[in-house]
Amino acid sequence: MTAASRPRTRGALSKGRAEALAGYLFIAVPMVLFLVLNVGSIFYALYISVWKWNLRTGPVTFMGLDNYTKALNDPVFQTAIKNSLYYAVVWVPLTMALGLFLAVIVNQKIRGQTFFRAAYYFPAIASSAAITTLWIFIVAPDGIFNQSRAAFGLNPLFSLLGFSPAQNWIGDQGTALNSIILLNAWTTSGTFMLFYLASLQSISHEVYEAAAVDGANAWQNFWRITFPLLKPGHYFVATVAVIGALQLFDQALIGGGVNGDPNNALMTMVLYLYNAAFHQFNFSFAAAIGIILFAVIFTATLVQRRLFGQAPAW
Amino acid sequence: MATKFASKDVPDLFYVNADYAQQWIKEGFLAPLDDYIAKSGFDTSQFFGGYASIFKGTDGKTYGFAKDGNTIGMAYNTALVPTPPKTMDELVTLAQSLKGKNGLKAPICLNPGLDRGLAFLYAQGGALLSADGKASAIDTDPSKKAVQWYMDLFKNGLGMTASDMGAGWCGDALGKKSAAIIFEGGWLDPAMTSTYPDVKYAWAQLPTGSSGSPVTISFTVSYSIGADAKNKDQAWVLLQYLTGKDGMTKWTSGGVALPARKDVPTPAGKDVLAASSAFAKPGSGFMPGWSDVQKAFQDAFTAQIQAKTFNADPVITAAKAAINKALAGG
Repeated sequence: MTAASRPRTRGALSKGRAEALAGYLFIAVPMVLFLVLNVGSIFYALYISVWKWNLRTGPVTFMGLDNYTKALNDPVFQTAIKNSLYYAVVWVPLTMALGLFLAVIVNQKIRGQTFFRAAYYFPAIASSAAITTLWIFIVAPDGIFNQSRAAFGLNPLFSLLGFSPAQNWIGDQGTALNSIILLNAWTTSGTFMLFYLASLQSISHEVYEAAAVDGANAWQNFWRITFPLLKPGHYFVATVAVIGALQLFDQALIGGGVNGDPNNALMTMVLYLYNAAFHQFNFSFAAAIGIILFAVIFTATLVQRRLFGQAPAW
Repeated sequence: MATKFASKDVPDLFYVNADYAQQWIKEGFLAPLDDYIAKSGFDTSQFFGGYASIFKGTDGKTYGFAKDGNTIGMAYNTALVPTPPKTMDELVTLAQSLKGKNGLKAPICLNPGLDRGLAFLYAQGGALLSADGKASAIDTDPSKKAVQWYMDLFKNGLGMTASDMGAGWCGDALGKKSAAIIFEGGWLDPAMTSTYPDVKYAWAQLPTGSSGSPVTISFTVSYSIGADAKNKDQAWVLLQYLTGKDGMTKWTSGGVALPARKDVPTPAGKDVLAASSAFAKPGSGFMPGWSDVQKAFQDAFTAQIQAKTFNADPVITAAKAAINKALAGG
């Protein structure tokens, strides 16, 4: 290294530092907002949750973990946890499978490809309030679903399964949650289709060409190539799906009201939290529920990380 | 409102639903009005008892006055029911004669909870609370019998929920001719006029049950002043007008709600419902933790009718536990 090159090296280093500084300055504003509004409010909720809290005047008496034990011992909250977990366990795989199926279909070079992509995505852009209301009409006792199964002569099949011709799908405690699962599988599969479509298109054509040379059929192509190579996509979709599933709220509220009718069939963790905060004005109890919900989602995400391996680079 | 209470930036005057009143009084969200009443000589004696009691705190102070009210009455399709039943026994006989006819899904549309069931509980001589309001009375014999009687209406196909009829609420069921008899309040009238103008119906008082005297339940909303309101004096002036004779006369002439005061004339077409104001008991918010009690009752009741077991005992047990918990302070 010559003497002449030294100043230039130092100059480049300080230029690098200046760039880094500028970078930090750029992210400083969103970081401060994130720390105060997201991380800060989590800690504030943690603080509120151990007090008897008056909305107007703040802390009243220290309660320790009373709110947590009260929540975990409440049979309604236990039902809410059970419902939310059931929903996640059934809805996530169902919707992922549907989304992947749609993505593979619209990824083919077929006529009207854009139309199908838009059509399958369409339910996802409708407001959840509107589409839930529609769904309530569709699956009502005298709704179009019950009428069409009668018209198609499917009622003997349904009565074998124990459903009367006027089955009240959302109003019956046995079928309410499954009805909401079907609704959301339909409306959200379009979004998952988009996620999968992006992943599908990142798979190199060379892999399929090599497979074609080896004489692989379409079925083998899908299970041996597409499905495993979609692993980053699976991880992303599954994580987003589980978090969304555990936060189920609006469809439950619209379908079953604030009490999660009938008989808590539509009571979810977030609906329970909403009730505690905005109907009983018990904000410290609601904060405790929020922390429990956070713990559940955090654990679920960690478990998924273990199952699907490390998060991909993005 | 929650964010407004938290930021101490509340409107000077606002509605308080009876459901929330006790909770909001306890949390100190509302300003006591006793000093204002004493200073201005506001005549509080004209309010019907069922409406006035809701907005008093456990400290005996008054935190609001009913802006209006509504009582639960029986609305019936006049084409199917020529003369309305006067007693609960007549109601059952009539329902039996209508069952399975005229395309009705059930003769009566009923709610599976206390929001209407409470009226029937009272009519049949039952009660939720003891006379002094300090203990549960849901497990007394008359109460148990009353709940079982109400549940048997579902069991015998005489009553059905609006949801099972494919209706949003019982008013909807009357309009769609799925039910011939429903139990609602004055809010039914504008809904029927606008959505089902061709369905002819009339009002009658809630049939008398084994308690022997006419009874029903009422619902109300108050005008109250926020504890942190900036202009309390001005708010009190407005509150006096709105809940006073002149203001309430003007307000209730709109045709939905009933006067909460005895000195306000009955609006046109509201005679039957208004006649119940004098003896109606509060239908919500009359005890702490009311929403929990209501939920416990409705959940257990729904479970029974959906499982078709129709046993009132688990409902009584669940309601009693909820009442005791609520009376003990949640």
